[in-house]
Amino acid sequence: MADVSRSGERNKDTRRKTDKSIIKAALSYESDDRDDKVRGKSIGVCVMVILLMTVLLLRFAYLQFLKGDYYSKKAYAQQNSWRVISAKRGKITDRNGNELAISVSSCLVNVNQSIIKNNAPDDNVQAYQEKIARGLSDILGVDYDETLTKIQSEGRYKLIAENLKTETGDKVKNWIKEEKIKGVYVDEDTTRYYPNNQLACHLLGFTGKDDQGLVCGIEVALDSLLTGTPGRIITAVDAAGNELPYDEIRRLEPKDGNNVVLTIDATVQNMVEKALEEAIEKENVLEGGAIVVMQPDTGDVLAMASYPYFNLNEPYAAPAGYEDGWTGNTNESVKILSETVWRNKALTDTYEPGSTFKSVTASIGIEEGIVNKNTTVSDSPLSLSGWTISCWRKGNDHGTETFAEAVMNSCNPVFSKLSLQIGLDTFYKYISAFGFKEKTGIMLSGEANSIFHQNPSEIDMAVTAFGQRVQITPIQLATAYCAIANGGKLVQPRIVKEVTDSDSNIVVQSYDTVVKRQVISESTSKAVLEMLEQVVASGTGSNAYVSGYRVAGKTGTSQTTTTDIDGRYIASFCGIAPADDPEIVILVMLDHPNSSEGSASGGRQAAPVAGTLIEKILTYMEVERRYTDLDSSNMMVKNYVPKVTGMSVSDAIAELKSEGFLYTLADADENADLSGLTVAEQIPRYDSYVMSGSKVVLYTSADSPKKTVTMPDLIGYTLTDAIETLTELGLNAQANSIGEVVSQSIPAGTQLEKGSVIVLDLINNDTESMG
Amino acid sequence: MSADKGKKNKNKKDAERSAALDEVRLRIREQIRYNQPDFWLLLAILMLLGLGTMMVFSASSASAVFMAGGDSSAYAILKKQLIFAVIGIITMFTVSLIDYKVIARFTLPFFGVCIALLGLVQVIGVSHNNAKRWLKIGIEFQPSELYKIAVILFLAFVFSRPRIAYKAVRLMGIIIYIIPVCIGIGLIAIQPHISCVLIIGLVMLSMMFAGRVKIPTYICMGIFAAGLGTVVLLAAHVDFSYISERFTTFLDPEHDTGGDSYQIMQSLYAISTGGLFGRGFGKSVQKNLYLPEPYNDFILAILAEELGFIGVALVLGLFVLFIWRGYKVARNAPDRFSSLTAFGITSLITVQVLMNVAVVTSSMPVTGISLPFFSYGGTSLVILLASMGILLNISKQSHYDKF
Repeated sequence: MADVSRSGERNKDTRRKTDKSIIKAALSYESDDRDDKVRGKSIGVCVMVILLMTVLLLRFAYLQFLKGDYYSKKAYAQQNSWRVISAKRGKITDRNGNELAISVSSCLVNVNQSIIKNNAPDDNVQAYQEKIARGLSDILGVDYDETLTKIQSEGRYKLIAENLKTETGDKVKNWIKEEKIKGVYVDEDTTRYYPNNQLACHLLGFTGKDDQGLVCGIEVALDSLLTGTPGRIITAVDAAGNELPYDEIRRLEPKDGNNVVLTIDATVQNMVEKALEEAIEKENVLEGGAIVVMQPDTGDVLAMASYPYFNLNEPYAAPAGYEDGWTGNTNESVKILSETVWRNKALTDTYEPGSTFKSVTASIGIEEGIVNKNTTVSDSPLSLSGWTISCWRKGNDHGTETFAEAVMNSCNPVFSKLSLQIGLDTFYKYISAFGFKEKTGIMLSGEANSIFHQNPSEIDMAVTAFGQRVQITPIQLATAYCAIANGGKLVQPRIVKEVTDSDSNIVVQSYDTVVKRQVISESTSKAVLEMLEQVVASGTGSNAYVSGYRVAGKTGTSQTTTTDIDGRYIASFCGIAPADDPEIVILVMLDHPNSSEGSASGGRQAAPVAGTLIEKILTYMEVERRYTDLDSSNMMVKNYVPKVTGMSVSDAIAELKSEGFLYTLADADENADLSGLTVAEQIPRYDSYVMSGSKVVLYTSADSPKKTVTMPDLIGYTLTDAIETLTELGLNAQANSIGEVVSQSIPAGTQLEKGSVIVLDLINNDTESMG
Repeated sequence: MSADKGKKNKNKKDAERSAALDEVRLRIREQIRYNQPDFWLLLAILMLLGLGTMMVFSASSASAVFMAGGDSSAYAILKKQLIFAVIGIITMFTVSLIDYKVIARFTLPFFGVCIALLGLVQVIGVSHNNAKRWLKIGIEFQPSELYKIAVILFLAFVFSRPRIAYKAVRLMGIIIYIIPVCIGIGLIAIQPHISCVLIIGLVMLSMMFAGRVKIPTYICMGIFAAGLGTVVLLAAHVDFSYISERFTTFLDPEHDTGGDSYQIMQSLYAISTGGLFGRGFGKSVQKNLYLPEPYNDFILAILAEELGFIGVALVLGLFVLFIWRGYKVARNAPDRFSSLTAFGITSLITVQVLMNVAVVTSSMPVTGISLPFFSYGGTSLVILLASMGILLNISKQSHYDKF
C-alpha cells in the first residue's frame, strides 16, 4: 500500500485520470454477485473428467497391449498381401549320389486384379483387362476367357499358370516390360522331377500339387525333412489393393528342403527292375512280383522292386487294363491306383513264404542243438491231429536222409517233425526273435502286419515249420535271411542313409544300422549257410547257381488262398551270396507264374532270376569270384567244335550257339545285313576239342587278313585268371585240371591267330575249395 | 461545530475514499499482474492445435492422393486445414481482446441469430450423407456449431442475471431457458444431427448443475426424458433405425466387419497395431482407405496407430491439462456470467473429447462426434478457436486464488 501511494505521488496527474476509469471498472465488478458455490462445482467436475480420461486411457492400453496381437493379426491379414516363393524340395539320391528325385526351377504367373483395375490407362478398365488376358493367353497358351474371368474377379492375387519353363517366364517378363503392364507377376517356383521315370517308384513315391509327399515312399515318410520353408514377397496394400509407396517390399527368402541319401544303389535297382520285368514276362506272372536286395551286415536295402511299376512323373496314368475311360486324378482312380501300381508288394502285401521259411526252422533246430547237418532224419509222412503231412514227392519220399539232404530236398515232414521236437513255446519264441511278429521298422509307410496263428496248436506249428498257413511280408523274410547270413544279428532294414542340408551338404541326420538282437549264434548261422549252399549246388535251388560265387538259398512254392480255384502259387527264392562271406541277401517273389513251360515252382521260376541277379550284382560290386571245384568241373565241360565253314553266317551262328560255343565275326559287322554271306574260315578248326563256351572266330572271306595277338606268359596264374586273360585276348583255353598253370602249349611271345586254342597244364594247390 | 462536523465529515469521506482507492489500487496491481491469458491453457490449446493439424496432414494424405489421383495433392486437405487454423488463431486472439462483458451484452441477439440460421438450414441448407446440416455462405458451415456456443452464453446469461437467476433455479423456472434452447435443439434434431443434440443436452445439464438449479428440476427432467425416450424408442424402427443399428454394432463389432461395424473394426485394427510406440508418424496403413475419412471423427485411431500408446497418452494428457485449466478459469472468473461461460465452454470440449475417445475405442456406440482441435473441418475449427478466445479473455480477468 505504501508502495502504491509513493508511486501515486510521483504522477499525480495521470493517476487522477486513470483512477476514475478504474474505479468505475472496479465497481462494475462488484455489481455482479460472486457466488463461490458455483466455482466449487468446478473441482468436482474436473476430478470426474480426469477419472473418465484415465478409464479411456486404460481402454487404449487394453486395446494396444492386451488385444494388440489379436487385432494386429487381423489387420495384418487385411493390409498385407503376399506372393509365395516356393522352397526347393530336397533331392533324393542313391547311395552313390545319383539323383533319383530332383526339383527343377519353374515359374508361375500371378495377377493382382485390383492393381490392374487401378492402373488401366484412360480409365478404360475393360480394355486393359482384355489386353492383359489376350497377352497372357498368347504367351502361356492358357484359355483367354478363363484368364479374363480371373482378371475380372474380386480380390488380390490369382494364379494364372504354374509349372512354366523359365524361358516362358522370361517371355512374360519381357512382355510386361515392353507393354508397361502393371499387376502381372512372374515368380519362381519348383517342380518335382524324377529323372529315371519308373526307377524305384515305390521307394520314392511322388509329390502332389503343392509339392507334398503323397501315398507312399520316401516322399511321404520324410516329407517334413524334404519340404523346405517357403519364402514370401510381402507388400503392404491399401484398401483398393495398391501397393503403398512408403512401405518397402519385404522379401523372405525360402529355405530349401534337405537332401535325402538312400541306401539303394541305382544301378542295382535298375538291374533288379529289369530282371523282375523280364521274369514277369517270360513266366507269364499274373499278379506281379517283388525283389528285395539287402546287405546282411548293415541291413541296407540295395534295391527293392515291386511289379507293376509306374512312372513317377505321371503317377496318375492308367494302369494296365484300366485304360478305357480313365479319368485320372479322381477318388475312384486313386483307389484303383493304390490297389495296383502304387502298391509296394515288398512291404504292403503279405504272402505265405512256403519252403523259404524252412531255413528259419532249420536255424532254430540247430541253435537248439536238436539237429545238425549229419543228423539222420526220416521223410516219412507225419500224421498229426487228423492231418497228414507228406513230402512234395508224394508216394516216393526221400526216406531216411541226413538233415542237410532234407534241406536240399525240401522235405516237409522232416521240418514238421523238427518243430515238434523244438516245442511250441521255443518255436514261437524264435519266430518272434526273427522279427516275424513285428514290423521291420523300415522307414517307409504302408508296412503290413504279419499274420500268425493266435493260439497255435501243434498242427499249426507243424505247417508253419515249412512256411504254410502264415502270412509275412517279403521284407520280413529278407531281414530274417540277413540274420542267418550275418552271424545271427537281426538288423533293421535301412533305406535312408542320411539327410544332408541342401546348402552346405552337412549331414543333418544320419541313420545308423540298428541291430535289434542276436537271434542265433554265429556257428548256427554258418551251419545253416552251408546247408543252404547245398540247396543251390545240388538241390532244388540249382537254377540259382552262379559260377565263381557260392550261392546259398532256399526255394519256395507257396499256396495262396485262391490256389485251389485258379492255381495261383507264389514262386519264390531267397538267396545269400557269397555263402562264405555274405554280401547280399536277395528275395525273388513271383506271384502266380502261369507259364506254359511248367508248373509254378520257386526253383524253376524264381531261382534263375536270383542267380542272374546275384552274378550281375556281385560283379558290379566287384566281389572277387572264387571258383570252387564245382565251378571248375562245370567249366571243364568240353566239346567238339562243329564244322561251320561253307554255311551261311546266320546258320553258322545258330549251330555254334546250339553246341554251347560263342562266336565273333572278324571281318563283318554283326549288326549289318548278313544274308548272302557265308563262313569261309573258322578258328578253332572243326573238331577241335575245347571247353564249352569258347569263342569261335569266323571269317566270311578266306582272303581277309587274320587277326593276331601275342601269346602271354601264364605260368603261375590261377585257372580263372588264365582263362580271363586268354578270353580278353580272344584266345581259347583248354585246361585239364584246376589250380595253378604250370605249362602252356604255346610259348609266350608267339604271334597267334585269334581263336586259337591254348592247352594249359595245371596243378591243384587249392584245398579251400573242398567243402 | 458545524465546521468541525463538516471537517469531520470531510475527513471521514476522505478516509472512505482513500480506503476505496487503496482497494482499487490493489485491484489494479492484480490486474496488471494478471492481465494476460492463462499460460497453461494457452499452451494446451496451441499444442493440441499443432498436433491436430499435423495429424490431419498425415491422416488425410492418402485420401487426398486417392481423391485427386496425383502425388502433388497429398497436401490438399492439409492446406485447407492450415488456412483455417491460421484464421482460427487470429480469431482466437482477437476475441480474447474483446471483454467478455461486451459479448455478454450481445448474448440474446446472438442466440436469436443462431436460431434463425438453424431455421434457414431447413430451408436452404446443403445436404451431405442424407443429413441437412450445412449452410453455404461463401463457405459451408454448420450453424449447429455456433448454436453450441450460443446455448452456453444464453444459459450463463440466464443463471447470472440476479433477477432471472433466482427464478430460473426453481422448478418452474426451467421454462425460462428450456423453451428457447429446445427450439434450437429441435431444429438440429430434424437435420438429423443426434450427436449434436446429445452434446448440447449434456452441456446444458452441466451448466444447470453449475448454475445451482434445484434438485426437483432434474427429477422432473428425468421423468420427462424417460417419457420422451420411450416415444423415441417406439418410433426408432421408423425414423431413427440407424441408432439401433449402431447399438448392435457396438455390442458385437466383429459380427459383420463388412457392413455397419466396418468403421469401428478398422478403428480397432488401427489402434491395436500401434502398440507402445506406433508405426511412426505418417506410416499408418489403416488410413489408406481402410478407415473411411480417417482425418475426421476417427483421427485418434490413426494417431494411435502412428504414435502408439505414448502418443495417445500425450494427447489425452494435453486434454486433461486443458480441462483442468479451463475449470480453473471458471472457478476464478471475476463474476457469475464469466464463470458459467468458462464452465460451459470447458464442458463442451470435455463432452466432445470423452465421447469421441469412447467411440473410437468402441466403448460406446458410434456417433459422429469430432475430436476438438484434431478432426478436419475448417469452420468448426474457427468457431472452436473463437470460443477459446472467450475462455482466454475470462482467464485474463480472473482472480487467481487456488484450485
